[in-house]
Amino acid sequence: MSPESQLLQYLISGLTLGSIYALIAIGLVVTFNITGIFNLALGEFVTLGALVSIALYAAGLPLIAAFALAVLIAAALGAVMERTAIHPARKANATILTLVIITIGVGIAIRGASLLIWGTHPYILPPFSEHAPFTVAGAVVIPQSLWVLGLAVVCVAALFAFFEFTYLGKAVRACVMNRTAARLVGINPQRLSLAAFTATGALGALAGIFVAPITFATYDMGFMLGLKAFVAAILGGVTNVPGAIIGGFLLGILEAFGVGLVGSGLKDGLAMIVMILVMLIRPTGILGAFRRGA
Amino acid sequence: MLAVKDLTVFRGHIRVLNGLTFSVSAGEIVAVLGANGAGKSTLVGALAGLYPPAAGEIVFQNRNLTGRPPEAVVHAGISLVPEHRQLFAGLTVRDNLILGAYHRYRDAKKELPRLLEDVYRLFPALREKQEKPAQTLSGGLQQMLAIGRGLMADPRLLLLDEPSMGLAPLVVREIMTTLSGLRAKGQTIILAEQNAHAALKIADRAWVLERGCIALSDTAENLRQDARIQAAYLGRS
Repeated sequence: MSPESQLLQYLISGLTLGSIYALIAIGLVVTFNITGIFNLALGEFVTLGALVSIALYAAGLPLIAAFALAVLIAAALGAVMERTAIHPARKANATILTLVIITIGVGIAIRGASLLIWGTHPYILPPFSEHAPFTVAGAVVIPQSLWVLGLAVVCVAALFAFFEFTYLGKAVRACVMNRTAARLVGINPQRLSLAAFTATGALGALAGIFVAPITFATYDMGFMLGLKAFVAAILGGVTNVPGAIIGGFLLGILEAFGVGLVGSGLKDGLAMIVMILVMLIRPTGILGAFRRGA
Repeated sequence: MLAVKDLTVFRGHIRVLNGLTFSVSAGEIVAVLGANGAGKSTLVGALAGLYPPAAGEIVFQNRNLTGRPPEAVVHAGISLVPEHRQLFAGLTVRDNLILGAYHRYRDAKKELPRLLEDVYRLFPALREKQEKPAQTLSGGLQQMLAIGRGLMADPRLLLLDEPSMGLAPLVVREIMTTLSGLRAKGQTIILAEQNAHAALKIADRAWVLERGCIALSDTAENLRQDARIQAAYLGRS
């Protein structure tokens, strides 16, 4: 393989990884904008999407049905999490920090339950298409990478359309821009909080389902993905959805090149180094302002 | 229409409203006057559900709204045009307006163009700017937009908090004339206003708040003549 193809290879795997980070990071940022807290359990919804759909597929459901059901289950769990863990704490005037720690707790609980149900064994989800890997300019592309990229594109387009063109989407943006004014026109932030946890739970599960055929699925696969998505969100400026997307892809590409050019030991450390550097040098993220409303 | 009894409201540890009792009838404009910190904003805010009362009762059209959150109060027919306008800065003028109808969107979806038209007729300058983000508007237009958004909720009772703040006298006059016109069509209004001169011109009645209590309550006509008011709020001696 020529050096150029080698670099292209890294780029392809970086874009694939980056799509997943970006998707989860979008979920984090949207929830943060609406509720003011980071749902640090979101990574576990990625795990659930993958493992539940594998279990349902193994139980004899068609692949598509298994996916749909897994996404629904994750969405329902997101709703349950909001109603049983976040909403009551908020009613009791919990601080933002308390709420974030609650999400960490829920994450640990989901991870523990997954360990009990599925063990430490890695599970395999078949790729979505039977098509054999093909080469582009000497670099190998596996079809599943295209599925992952495609999912990212479709999700981003759908979210854009929702926030830009629908009445409800505008109401959500209004609530992010000015919570008090939103309540005065009748927008209920608590209902939006429920919707945010539900929708991002589903989004996380989708990401898990699409990435599982590439990475295998284990009870703790979501933890690192969630953490890196968090780094991507910070890289993009925390409140900024386009920033989160760019942050996700940048991190994915950086990681792929780091692993390829330096060594695979760097894989997980790199994200943490990036986070520390961003915090030190540009805490507002690459796309700027650390303020709500963008 | 509105009956308030012993309304007491704390902001943090400070008792801002101290057992207010008053009522408002349909079709009148009541001005709430007073110095900075007297509790004007807290009063209209509490009526809109922003600050849950520690004691007392708010009954509106025979419905007890005490302690109800803003999103429920607007549904009951009370709409607040808040201090500093509080627009959805990044959204267009048009989007700000249609979101004003959020609480009844499902029923009003088909009427939206007509409702928008009503607001544009009231404030023709908004029509030309309808696709512009709210934050690009001048102060006067922003205030008009805030009022328009409040009206889109189709309130039985419209609350306004300092609509004259930071505006040129001509613009203030225009806004007050508009409010007067709304009243002529039967709109009930409570107007919290630092600018006593402008407010007393259009109001039927007024209360003067002092340290969270109603210090004076009379017709606007009488208050305009009142020596204490002239000295303290109208800048005449």
